[in-house]
This record gives sequence, structure tokens and C-alpha cells, in this order.
Amino acid sequence: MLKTSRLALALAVLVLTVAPARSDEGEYTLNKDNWQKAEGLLPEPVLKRVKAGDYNFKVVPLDAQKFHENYSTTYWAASESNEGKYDLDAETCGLKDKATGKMPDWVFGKPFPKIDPKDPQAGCKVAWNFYLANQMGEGAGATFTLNGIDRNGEFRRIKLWLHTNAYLGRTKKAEENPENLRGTSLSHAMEPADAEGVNILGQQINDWTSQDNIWAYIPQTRRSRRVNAASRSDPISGLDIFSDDLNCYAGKVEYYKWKLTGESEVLAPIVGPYALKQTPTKDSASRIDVTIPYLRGAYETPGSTGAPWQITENLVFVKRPVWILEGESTDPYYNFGKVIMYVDKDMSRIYWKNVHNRAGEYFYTAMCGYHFSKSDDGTFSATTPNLVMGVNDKTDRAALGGRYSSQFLERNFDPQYFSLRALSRLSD
Amino acid sequence: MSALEEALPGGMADEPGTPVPARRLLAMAAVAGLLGIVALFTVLPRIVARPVATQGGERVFPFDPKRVRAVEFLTRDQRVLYTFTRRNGAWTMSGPQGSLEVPADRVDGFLETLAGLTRLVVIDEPGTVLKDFGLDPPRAMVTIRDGRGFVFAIGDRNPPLTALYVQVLPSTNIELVGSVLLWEFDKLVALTKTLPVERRERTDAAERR
Repeated sequence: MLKTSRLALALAVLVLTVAPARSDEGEYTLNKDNWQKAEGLLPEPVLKRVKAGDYNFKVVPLDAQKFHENYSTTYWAASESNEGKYDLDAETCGLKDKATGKMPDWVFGKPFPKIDPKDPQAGCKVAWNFYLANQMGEGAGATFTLNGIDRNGEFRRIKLWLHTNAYLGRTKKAEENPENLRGTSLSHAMEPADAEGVNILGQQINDWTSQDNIWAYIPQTRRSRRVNAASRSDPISGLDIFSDDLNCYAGKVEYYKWKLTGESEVLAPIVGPYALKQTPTKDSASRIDVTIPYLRGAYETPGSTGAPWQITENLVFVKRPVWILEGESTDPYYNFGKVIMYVDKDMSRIYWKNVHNRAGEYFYTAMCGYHFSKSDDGTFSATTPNLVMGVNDKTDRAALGGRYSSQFLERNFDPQYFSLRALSRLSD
Repeated sequence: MSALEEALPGGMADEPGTPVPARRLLAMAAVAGLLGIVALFTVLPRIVARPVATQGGERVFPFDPKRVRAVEFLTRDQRVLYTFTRRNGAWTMSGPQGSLEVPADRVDGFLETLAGLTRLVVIDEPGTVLKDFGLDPPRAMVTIRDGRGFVFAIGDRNPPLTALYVQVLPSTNIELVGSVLLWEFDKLVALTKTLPVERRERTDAAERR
């Protein structure tokens, strides 16, 4: 009898302790009425805005294994086999092939599949895992907008397209890489009239020391001019968004001094949250289309409440384990001071970054949302930044970047497409 | 005759084979030496050290982080004194639970951040209520021991969370500095939780007794 009652009591305790946890696991909208649920799960400036009624986040439960499978089987197999193959250059944080002592020309998968938080180089290793995961999708392209938004709604809109080609972390090694690049990009502004025809070509050289090559073509002067790589920390067209917000960090790993300062859990913004379908195009054997649901903003949603820059449709938040990483640029002309980033331990995505200026004032948070796509046979996947919500907490203004509803992946870009000649011809 | 010689006025170019007068040689050596000294102070430092971006405003805590021997703090929440002491480049944290060597970059990072902070705003109006700025009681009191030593109080952040109110004692002024200081300070506080749990429990039990 005593045994039975003890068992009943134990079961009751179990039910009582498990039940609240279960309710937390279900879908809910995080808002000013239940903001406490996100204590410790969001950067403080973001939680403050939830508490103030600026943000309503749809939080959904996540199957962690299925989420892990957003990346291809080949990616995970390659990551496992990379264990012990790579090291770091102590001076620059550059990636080093242990066999040659040099910068490798192709690394698919995580170069550092196991991270020891006590390792003094852990921050740099997490940064490399992040950088190379960005590149698994090889080439990509999308047309999207940058929207400057304040409390009154949208005040500026820029429409542009961006094409990128990756060399270092791609799934299949490129047949040719004549300029020894890690990656390259080409963008073209389409709207408004004052920005139309501005083209930008970027190149990241695959070494430990060189700066990015960036050229801008200005149609008014019909000339291309070289731009300082530190301009990645300049606001784009006066908006509260920066070139370095792409993937939440768009520079070479070697530009920052990285420090792993902790680990936590965060609410991560994701489209999906599971991999979207990749559809091979009929015209080309190397081109794949991905259809993505549009991330509608509150400023374009009638009757919505809260900050006009929050996303009201198709973005969900999932709880993810993260490394907390600090980055500080070694370039004296870079505008940012300390940058604090929250990086997914498994998927190597940066979801949030808090930015300080050179005087140590916090001023800006970027929320980086992603979508994942995967081939039907599960051997090729891509992770793509689909949204940057940049919020300037000093000026109470924001910008949205991305939110494209279709993209293409290109597995065989002609390297000549990303050239100075192409840069000027785009506007002819 | 070379193009250079052609360009020079007739009296300036020496005839080939004519020995250069010693006085002229001395003058040329003096000019070269002078140029060398100028280069030593102007060009060379730029080559050796990259220029560091200047920060606007006056530094609030003018000290050399490398000369700091100890950092002490007492927080409003914990009400326990923790001391970080530097010996041979390593930092040891001491508290009522005991002592522990801690990652040097945590304390060094805090000190470097502190030393680099500039004054954003000074609030020196009479009748200022310290409580309104989280300074009565303060979030924490920090003592830096670098030979001279100074104490400062950490208060709240400003409403948009961009900056932090501090008070460098014994001044009554309230200074606004970048909130990165709080981020660095919180990392020090987090270290106090890395002391072995069983030792903390023992101390807690002793306190309860």
C-alpha cells in the first residue's frame, strides 16, 4: 500500500514538473503579456522591445534532429571526416591545413566539428565553421529590397539583385578558381532612380592577410572605383543596415579577433523551420530554383500593432543552443567596436548580433533570419540569409534587408561573370 | 650629358673627375642626418604600428591596464567582495568560497575596455538623485589597484541601453560611458560562479549557521 502511494506521489510530482515544460514546448506568441518566457533567450535590447509591445514573435516547437537534417548528409559526413585535419595560424586566425601548413583551397563541412569552450582558439574555430557553412550552397542569386523604416513606416526602399559564388566551402570543389578566391559577389541596384545602375563587385582572396577587393561602378561618372574594405561597416545608403550584416558577418574570418565568451540558448529567427524544396530548372543542369514564403513586415500589414519593422508573416522563432562570440575588427578604419554574436552550436548560423561603436556605446542589433533548402536525395543543401532586421536603438529606426520570395542556386558559375568588365557592362 | 645635368644650371654641376669639396660633403651629410631624424619620428612609427582609430571625448579612467595589480568588486546582488590579483601574468580570483585561477583574457579585456572608455555626458547638476541612475545603492563598486588606485560605482544603463551611468569616487558627478563596460563587468561576475559548487554550498551552509 505504502509502495503504491509512493509511486502515485512520484508520478504526481513527475506530471507536475513535466507539465509546465510541455506547455513551453508548444507553439505560442511571445509578446508583452508573456515576455518573461524569453528571459535569457533574447539579447536584452530585443527583450526590452518585446516587453514594450514592439515585437510579437511566433515561437514554435522544433524537432532538433530534423532541423539538423536541414544540412545534407554529405555535409555532416565531411564534417566528421575533417576532425583533426585543420589548425589555425595563431597570428591571423587563418585556416591551416595540417598536412601542408598552408591555407587550404577547398574545405567542405565544418573544419572544426568539435569545439572545446576552454580552447583559447575556440572563438576563431566557431567563426570558421560559420564562414564555411555559408558557402555550401555554392553560387546563388536573388532580387530583394532594403527598406528603411521608422515609427511612421517606410521612408526609403532600394531594390537590387545580388549574385554570389563561393569557392572555399562549396559542396563540390570548383573546376577553376583562377584568382584564388574564397568567394565573390556582384550586385546591381535597380531602384530608386538615384541609386539605379550602381554596381558593386566584391572579391575575397583566399589567404590570411589580404583585404577584400571591392569596386563600385557609378553610372553618373561611368567609372569603377576601388572601395576600402572597411566600408562594410558603413550604413548602406543612409539606412540602418550594413554590408557586414549579410549572414550577420560578411568579412573574412581573419579581419576580427574572435573570443568565445559563453554559451546559452536563444530564440532563433527561421523561415520554415525545415528545409525548403530545391527544384532543378529545365534550362540548365547546374541551376536550381527555391521558392520561399514572403516575410511581410508590419509596416505593410494593415491593422498590425507594435514596431512597423517587425515581421508579421512566415517567420518563426525556435529555441537553439548557441555559442556567444565576441568579434572585434583589427582594421582601425572599421566603424564597429565590440560585436557580440549568438552562433548556433550545431548549424553554425549567427542569429543575433549586438554592435557597439568605437566608444563602447551599444547602438545596433541585427537579427539574421535564414532559410534552408535541400535536394530531394539529401546530398546537396544550402543555407541562405533571407532576412536582416537591423535596429538602431539610439535613433529608434530600423531597416529590413532581404525577404526575397525566390532565389536560384547556381552550381557552375563562370568565374568571368564576376569581373570588372561585367561590372561596367551591367549598366551599359 | 644626362638629362638631369642638362636641366641643372651650369654652375651647379661638377665637372666629371673634380673632387667634391669637404665642406659640401659635410653639409650634405648633415642634411641627410636631419632627414633621417625626421623620418625616425614621422614615417617609422607609421610603419611599425598601424594607426589606431581615435575616439572622441576624454578618457574617463586614465590608467595603464598593464600596471594594474588587483581588481576588487562588490555587487549589490551578491554583497560579497571578490578580488582578482595578477601574479606573473596570471589572474587569481578570490572570494569567500576560496581562490581560483581564471582566464587572463577576461580580466585583461575588462581593464582594456575600462581604460579606453570616453566620457559621453557628464551630469553635474546639483540636486541630482543618485537613485534615478541606479547609483544608490550602486549595481557594483569596483576598485582598481595600480599603484595609485581608484574606485568607481556602476549604476544603471540609460533608457535605450546604449550607455551606462558611473561615478568615479570621490567625485559627485555622474558620467555616462559606453554600455560595453557592463558587458565586460558581467563576464567578471559570471566568473565568480565558476568556483566549485561543493565549496559554495559549504559556504552557504556555514552562512546559514
